[in-house]
Amino acid sequence: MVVQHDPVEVLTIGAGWAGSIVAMELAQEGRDVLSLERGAERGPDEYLLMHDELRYDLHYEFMQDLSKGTFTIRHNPQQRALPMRRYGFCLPGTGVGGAGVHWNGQTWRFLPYDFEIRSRTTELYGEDKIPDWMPLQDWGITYEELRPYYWKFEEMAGISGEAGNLVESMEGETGINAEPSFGGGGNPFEGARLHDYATPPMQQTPSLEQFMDAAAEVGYHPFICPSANLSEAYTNSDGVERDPCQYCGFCDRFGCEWGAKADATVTTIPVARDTGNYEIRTQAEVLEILYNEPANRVNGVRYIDRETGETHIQPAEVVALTAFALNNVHLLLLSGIGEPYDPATGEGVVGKNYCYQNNCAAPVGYFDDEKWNLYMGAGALLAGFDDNNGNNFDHSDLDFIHGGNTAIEQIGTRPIDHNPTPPDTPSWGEEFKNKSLEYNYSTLSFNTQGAQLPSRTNYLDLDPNYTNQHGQPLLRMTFDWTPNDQKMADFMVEKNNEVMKAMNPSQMKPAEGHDPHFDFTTYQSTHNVGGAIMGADPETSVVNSYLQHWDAENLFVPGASAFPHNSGYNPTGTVGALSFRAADGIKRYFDGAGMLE
Amino acid sequence: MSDDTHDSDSDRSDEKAESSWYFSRRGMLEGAGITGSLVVGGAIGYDLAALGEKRPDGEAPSPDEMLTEPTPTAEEAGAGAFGFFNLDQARTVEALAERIYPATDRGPGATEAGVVFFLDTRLQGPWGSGEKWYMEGPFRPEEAVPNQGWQYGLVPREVYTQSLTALREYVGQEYNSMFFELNNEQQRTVISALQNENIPTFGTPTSNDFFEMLRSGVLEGMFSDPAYGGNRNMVGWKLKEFPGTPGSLGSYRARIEEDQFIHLSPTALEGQNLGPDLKPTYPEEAGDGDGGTAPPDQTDSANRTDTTNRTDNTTQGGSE
Repeated sequence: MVVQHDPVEVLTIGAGWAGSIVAMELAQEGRDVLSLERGAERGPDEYLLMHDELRYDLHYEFMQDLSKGTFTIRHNPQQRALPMRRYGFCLPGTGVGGAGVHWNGQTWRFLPYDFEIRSRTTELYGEDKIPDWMPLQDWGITYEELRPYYWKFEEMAGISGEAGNLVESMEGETGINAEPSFGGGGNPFEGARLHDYATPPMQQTPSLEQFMDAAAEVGYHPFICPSANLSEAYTNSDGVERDPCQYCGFCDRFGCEWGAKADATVTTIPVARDTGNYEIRTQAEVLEILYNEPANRVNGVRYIDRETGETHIQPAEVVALTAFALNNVHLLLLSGIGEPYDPATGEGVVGKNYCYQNNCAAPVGYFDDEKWNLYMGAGALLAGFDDNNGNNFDHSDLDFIHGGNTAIEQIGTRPIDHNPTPPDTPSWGEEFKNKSLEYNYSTLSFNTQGAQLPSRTNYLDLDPNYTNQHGQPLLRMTFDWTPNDQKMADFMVEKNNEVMKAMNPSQMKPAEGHDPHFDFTTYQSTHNVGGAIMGADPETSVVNSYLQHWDAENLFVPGASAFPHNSGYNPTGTVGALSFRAADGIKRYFDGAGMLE
Repeated sequence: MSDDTHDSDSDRSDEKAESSWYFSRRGMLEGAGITGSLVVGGAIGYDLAALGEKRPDGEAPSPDEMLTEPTPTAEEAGAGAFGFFNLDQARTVEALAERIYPATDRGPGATEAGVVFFLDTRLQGPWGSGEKWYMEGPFRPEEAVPNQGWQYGLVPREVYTQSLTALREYVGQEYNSMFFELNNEQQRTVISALQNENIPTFGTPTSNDFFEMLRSGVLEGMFSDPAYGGNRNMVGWKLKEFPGTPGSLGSYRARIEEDQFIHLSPTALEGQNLGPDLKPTYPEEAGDGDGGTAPPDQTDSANRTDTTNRTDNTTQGGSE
C-alpha cells in the first residue's frame, strides 16, 4: 500500500545544516516547508549524558548505521569495489541536525582563489600547470558573489574569530591578487571581509601559544582559527540566544549540551519551527526523487516510513536535496536525474569530481618538561597559519597546485583513544603502558589540512554487486591519492617538521609523506565533497550557481556535493553559504524565474 | 620524563589548586559566562553546582591508592560470572589483557580494571554480534587490497571463539599447557607470535586481526566509563589523570588558559543510566520557573558536596 500525501511547497531531503537553512529561509517567507529525515529527532536534552567516549566516539552512536546501507570502496576502476563493512576513513551522520550535530565547529570561508581556480592558475602559471588528468574547474561563482551568504551563515551561527582582512566597503577591497597586510591579529590571507566575526576569537592556551610562537619564528603568520563553538554568549538576528563554550573537550562526535557549538537543532530548526510553517517528519528515508524528465522537473519523492515499512509519495513544488554529500549523489543516480559520469570518456557529470581532504604532514613532539591540560579543549580551538594554503605562496617552481591550512588543535584528549608514545615504542606491554602514561599530556602534534583537487579516476557511481536494505545499489567510491596530493604532502612534511623543531620538543617523530595508496581503514576526515558539482556550464556541472539542477528546474542541490574541488579548509562554512544562496534561488524560482541566471 | 618531574608538576598544580580551585558556585557561573539563556535548563545548573564545589584532591594518586576495592580474578569470580566466555576462555583473555596492559610500578593493569568482565559483556551485546556492520555478501577477503578494511563474514563473537580455539590448540601443542598457565615471558612470546602471524593454527581472520581487535578491546576496558564494567574504581582514569565526566556538563572555561597542570580526581557517569531512553528525570523543585530539573542523587560521589543547591540562573531562555 502506498500513502499519498498532499503537496507541500518546499521539501528538503534531510534536516542537517543545508536542509534546515533552506527550511528556515523559506518558512520565514511564509512557504509551507517539510523536511524528510531518515533518522531520529534530537536536541540538547539528548546531549546531556553524552560524555561517553566508548559509545559516541569509538562506537559511532551518531553515525549512519552501516548494516542498513554503506558504500563500496576501491582505489581505481580496475579494482573490485568492496563494501565499507566497519567504519574507517569517514563518518557520515544521521538524524535531525545531521553531521552538523557531531561536527567540531571549525568554520572557514574558502579563498577567493578557490572559486576561480582554473582561470587564476592558468593566468598565473599557464595552461600546462594543470595536468591532463585533473578536471580542475571554476565554480561558476566568485568569492565576492558568495560573500554575503558566508556572512549570513556566520551571523546566524555566531562564528568566533578576528578579521585579518576587513575592508570598509566593496570599494575598499584589495582584490584577489593583492599582497596581504600583515601585523594584525587575524588571518591576513583570508578573502576581504565586510564584517568582522560575530564574536571574538576563542581563548588561547599554552599549547597553542607554543605552536604560534614557533610558527612566527619560522616566518609564518599564525592566528586563532574561526570557531562555531561561541567564545562568548551571543544572540543572533533571529533572536536565538546561546551560551558560550565551556571547553569541556567533548565536541567531535558528540552533541553540545550547552548549545554553545552551533548546530541546526539550536539555531535554524527552532527558528523555522517558530514560523508555524515547518514540519520535520523523522524516520522517513527517501529512496527516490520522482523525476519528470520531459518537463525538466521533479514531482516529489518516494520514501519509506522506517517505523511502519510503508511506502509514501510526497509531492512538492520545489525539492531541495540536502542529505550528506555522498547521499545527494547517490539519490541523483538512483533517481536517474542527470547523466552519470564516465571516467573512460570524461563525459557525464553526476559522480564527477569526487574529492576529499588531503590531511597530511603531522610531526609529533614529545616534551619531557611540559604537561598541558590537554583534557580540556573545544572542537574548534585551534591556532593555525595560511602561508602555505591556496595560492598564498608562489607555485612557479613547485609541481603541485594549492596547499592547505596548517593548524594545531586542542579539542580535548580522551583516554581510550589517546595513547601517545615516542617512536619505536611497542604497541602493548609494560613499555607501551608506561610511555603512554608518561607522555599523555606532554605530546603535541599538528598537521596540514590540504586541498584535494579532482582526478578523472576519483568519482562516484552505483555499485553493480552490493545493495542496501531496500535492495538498491550501494554508492561506489573510486578514490586514491593523486600525484598532486603526494607532492603537496611531501612539501608540507618539510615545512611542518621545521615548525615542530622550532617548538623544541625533547623528542620528535618527524612527519612523513603519504603511503602510495589511500587508506580506507583509518579515520581521516568526513569532508567528502563533489559528485554533484556547481558550475557555469551544464556540460561540465550538475547544478548552477544557485545550486539549481540543470536538468530539473525545481530541484536544488546545496551541500558539499556541489564543490568542484575541496579547499585546504573544513567545508561547513561553505556548505552554509551555498545553502543560503540556494534558499535565495528558491525564492526567486517561486517568483517565476524558471532557470536562474 | 622521570617520576620526579611528574611529581613536581603535581605539586605546582596543588599550590594553584589550593588558592583557586575551590571556588564558589557564583564564581563558577561567572567563570562560565552564563547569561541565563541556557538552552537545556536545569540539569546544567546541577552540574555546574557540583563542579563548582568540587574540591581538589591533591596529587595524582599513588599506585597503591588506586587499589581501593580489589577486583576478583576470573577464577575467583567463577564461570557463573561470565555470559559469553567459558572459564578457560575467561582466564585466557584475562591473561592476554594483563600482558597487553600490565600492572607496573605506575599502577594497576587490565586484571585490576576488570577488562575481562568488560569484554564478556561487550561480546554479548550488539557490538559482539556486529549489529551495525554491513554483513551482506559476497565476502571476498582474498580479493581485498590491504586498505579496503574488514571483509570477513565473521562478527566479533565468532572471531573471539575461533581465535581462542586456535590459540588453545597452539599453546597445547607448543607448551602442553593452557595460555593462562604459562609464565609472563612465555605469554609475551605467544602474543608476539599472534601479532606477527606466526601461529599455524590460525587461518582467517588472521592472528593479527584477532590481536588488533583484542588490543582495542583492552584499551576500551581500561578507560571507558565504569558503567560498562571495566575501568573498575576508575583505575584507568586515575592512571591517565583523566577527570572523566566532571569535565562534562561542567566547565573548564575559567581554567583553560592556565600554564600549570590541574589534577582533578575522576568522576563517572555513575547512576546516570546509559540507555537511550533512560534519561534521568529529576524531581521538580520549588521556585524553578521552567518546571524543570534537579539533580539525581549523588550519594556515592566522594567528590561532590551539597549538590541539591540550585541556581536560578538555569531557567530556560528558550531558543525554541
